[in-house]
Amino acid sequence: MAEKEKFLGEFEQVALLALIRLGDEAYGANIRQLIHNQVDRDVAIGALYSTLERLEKKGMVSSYLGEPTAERGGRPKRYFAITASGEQGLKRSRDMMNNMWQGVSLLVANA
Amino acid sequence: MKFNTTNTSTIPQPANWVLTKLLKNKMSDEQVGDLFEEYSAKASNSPNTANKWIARQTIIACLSAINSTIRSEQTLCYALYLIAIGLFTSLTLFISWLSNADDIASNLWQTLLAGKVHSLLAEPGIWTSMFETANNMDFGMYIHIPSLAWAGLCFFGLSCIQKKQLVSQLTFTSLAVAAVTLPYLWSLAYIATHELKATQIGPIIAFGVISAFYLILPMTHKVIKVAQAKSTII
Repeated sequence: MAEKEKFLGEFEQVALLALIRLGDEAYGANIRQLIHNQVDRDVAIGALYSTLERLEKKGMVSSYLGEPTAERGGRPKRYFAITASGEQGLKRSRDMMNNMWQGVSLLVANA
Repeated sequence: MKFNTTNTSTIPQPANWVLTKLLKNKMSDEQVGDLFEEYSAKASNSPNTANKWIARQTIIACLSAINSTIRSEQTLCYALYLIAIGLFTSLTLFISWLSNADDIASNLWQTLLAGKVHSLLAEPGIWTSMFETANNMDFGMYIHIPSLAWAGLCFFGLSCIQKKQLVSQLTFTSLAVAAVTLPYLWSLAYIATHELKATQIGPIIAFGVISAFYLILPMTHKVIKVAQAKSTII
């Protein structure tokens, strides 16, 4: 399997889905907040950025710098967006999981 | 989703200093800006919670920075060089001690006859003797023809492999480790499986120890160079 066809890790999928959900407002603080609200997980800022930078190197994410603002101590936001390659990777990972779930029934009831 | 950032609060000074000065090279402006913005939003609801939150984030950032520093390729290279220099120095002192010692304690002598140099070096008493005999070092005691031949052969072979990039980084590292340790392992095995006199054991130990003495630094350097050329974490 070629490098770019490898399945995405769990957190990579979470990060990419967050980018899709946030659209034009996808930057560090908002992504962390969304992940906290939706999956009840506190992600270290460094871990989030290193994941997004890794995805950017793979061509699955693009980013650009916004304007510096006062409430950020004069620091800019880095906005992230998913690319077509990122969407393909996400779909491939979802399809793989769906295939694996085919015919599987669990004894535990849904929470 | 958007943070309420109308109420701008000042981040506590210690956290501010750590994030903006101490971790200057570890965190980008955007990351620090995100933390400032989140702090500001939380402080508008509850300053205490915000202060606890920023303290936690600062500690996490510090731990992450320490972790990445320890795991960085450069730190690993320095650590490898330090270990190699430590081993080289130990072997230098040991060879000098072995060449000069004339009254060896019986327990050390038995360990030496078994060829177990690693056990000898773990004895605290031997280090005092080794430093005492360091004054009597002589260039000639570090010349050993079979070890020179082995070291030369390994150095030449691994240089060719390195130049032509014939093997993976892991294989190269394994070969380098084997070049340094095989003579010593062979000497241990040979002494353990043969009935030998003390005079016969000396040259065998010398081959194991002096080969490692010759090769430890150049092989470490080669392994690090190959790792850097491949631009991967060791």
